[in-house]
Amino acid sequence: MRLIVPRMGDMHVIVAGILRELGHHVEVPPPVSAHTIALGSRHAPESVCLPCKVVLGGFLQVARRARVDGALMAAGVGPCRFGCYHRLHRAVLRRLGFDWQWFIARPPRGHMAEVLGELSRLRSDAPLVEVLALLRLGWHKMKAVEAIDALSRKVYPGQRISGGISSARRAAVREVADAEDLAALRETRFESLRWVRQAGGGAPSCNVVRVGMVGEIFTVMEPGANMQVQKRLGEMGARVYRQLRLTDWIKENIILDTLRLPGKTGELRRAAAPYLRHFVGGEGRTTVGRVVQMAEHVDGIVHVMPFTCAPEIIARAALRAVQRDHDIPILTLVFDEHCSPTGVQTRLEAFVDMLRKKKEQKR
Amino acid sequence: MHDAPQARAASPSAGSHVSTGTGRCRVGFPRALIYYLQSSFWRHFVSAVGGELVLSPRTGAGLWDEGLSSGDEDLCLPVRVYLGHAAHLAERTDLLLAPRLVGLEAGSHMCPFFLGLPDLVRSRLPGARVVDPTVRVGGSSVRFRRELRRLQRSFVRCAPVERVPLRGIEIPRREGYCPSLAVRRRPGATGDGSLPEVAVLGHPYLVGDDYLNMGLLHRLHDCGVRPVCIDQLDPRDLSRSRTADRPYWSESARMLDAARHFVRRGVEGVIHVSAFNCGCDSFVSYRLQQYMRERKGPPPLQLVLDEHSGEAGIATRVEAYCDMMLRWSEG
Repeated sequence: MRLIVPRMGDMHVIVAGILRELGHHVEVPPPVSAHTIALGSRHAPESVCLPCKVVLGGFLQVARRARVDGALMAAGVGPCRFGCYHRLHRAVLRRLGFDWQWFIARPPRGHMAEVLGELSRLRSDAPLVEVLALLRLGWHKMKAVEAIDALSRKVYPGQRISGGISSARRAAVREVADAEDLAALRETRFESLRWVRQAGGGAPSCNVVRVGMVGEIFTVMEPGANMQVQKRLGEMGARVYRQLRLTDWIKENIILDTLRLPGKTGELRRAAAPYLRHFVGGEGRTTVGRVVQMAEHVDGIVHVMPFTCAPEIIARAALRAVQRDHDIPILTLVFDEHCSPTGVQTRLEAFVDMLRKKKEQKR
Repeated sequence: MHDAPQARAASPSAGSHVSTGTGRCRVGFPRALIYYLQSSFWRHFVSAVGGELVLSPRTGAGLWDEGLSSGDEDLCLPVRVYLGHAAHLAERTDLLLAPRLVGLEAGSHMCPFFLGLPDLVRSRLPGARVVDPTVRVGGSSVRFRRELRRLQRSFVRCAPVERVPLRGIEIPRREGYCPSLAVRRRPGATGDGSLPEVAVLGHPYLVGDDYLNMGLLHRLHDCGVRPVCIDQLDPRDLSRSRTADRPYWSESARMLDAARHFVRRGVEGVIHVSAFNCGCDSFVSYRLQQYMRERKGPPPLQLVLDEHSGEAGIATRVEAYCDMMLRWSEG
């Protein structure tokens, strides 16, 4: 089957790898560009949020140049709009003449049989043991990609040549994705981390400030949806800390939730409790919890969210109080269809300058 | 049953916050958002446990400005107006009752703003004493009663009264709100059947608040059509026209069910009222348009309300739509 998977950070590479092993032909949308966003916003309803439009734009870019039979998409169970994306995408694409088959990966609590039945159609003829082995390998690959990402964020201020870390990182992700089995992966992981470390082994040209990054998960992870905030901060000599990881999200929302086990969210919930006492959908409460947890260790926080994202709007209201109580500067960046990066660049520069001055004064 | 508080608030300048001097705990309940979804339960509960429910006056210029000055420009209009009502009550009452509506139908959610509403009130009004019972239909009623007992304790703390047992209270369901204008016949009209019907789809807190929707129902009456609201429908009609693949927001699901019912009933027009940047409506409006196209229903008019206070935009669009509708029903 000719499948399409949405693009998100580097994670789609791993998902596409698993599907290819199962014998499917997989298409991945090209990196997010102004064209992607324009295409998505032309066909989506005006007021849906940016991630929905970005993903739709990516689907349309592929649909126009290649034949696709089906799409693999993630979904939630509300109240965040993310859980409804696939319905909208399906309706829009059908109206444009693309009648795809949809495979929806969503938290299976309550409809286990339905969800598993739907996804097991992707299995083709592969025996279950093989599928499980593939999933296990995929999981470790995701972990490896996250380790690469974390390291590149850490060493970015010491980048030797301009663009060095980005290319080392790209190569590293490619190597990890190509690993055949767990043993090979272990070796590649070690090797690729070394590349990244080498690329960032120089001495930082200025005082390094520590910046925490929080917000809506897609906007945080997909550089195309946040105008590469992470890279921009790195180039300004900031070390970006980001606790939000896709593997954690999968673990908390899919695995632990299905088994009804408590996860790490308990700590986040307790941290957020003085400011926000209830789940508000999406990342809302965990955003607040993470800022409270990170406040001690970082100099400032960059909070990114799509325009009209309700959970993050509530989080932002709560963050005002966090900012006051913990004396931590927070910069909120709201992203919409506007495509010029200048505004983001100047605001980040000003923010990092401010953090640096504040830090020097403290000394 | 919702007519009583309306009549009481008919003179907003007199204020609905006249002190009774009975020494009972005065509990403020904003006349916005939750009021239009679930108010009689709270009124009865508060008076049963010996408190006094104080409603804020109807939305007017003062409360509107108060709410819009809240500074959080990203919140949707009805939430900001709610904060205005809450600020008004916080100065005049002992406690502020801001229930956290998590779900009003089993297995569905309210929008995230309802889930975080008490926290929004707290961060906006740091001095207010907010009590926030969680309402989740389909959840544990034992836990709900525990919340009510907590509520009762805070009432007793502020004005000592005898405690009444709370046994047997179940989690309250959605009550809804039917604006009196929607059911009232137009003075001078010969009969109900003669006027073309226009379905007004929208959250009850937008359709019910005349100030927010700039007197939409009045305008429709003036144009010679008869507005019909969702909460006016027989619940059986709604459940008979349940849509497949319902969204998980209970209000949006109801809206789509109602749209189905209205198309079957053969209304002449459909107006979808929504607030700017309403997350649920951004999906619902698309499905509504799609549905109307497929079923050859009337094309919906979408009215988006925001902070803009000029009435000309709404007036011309409503008039033009009604003209079109009337011409249609004649031809």
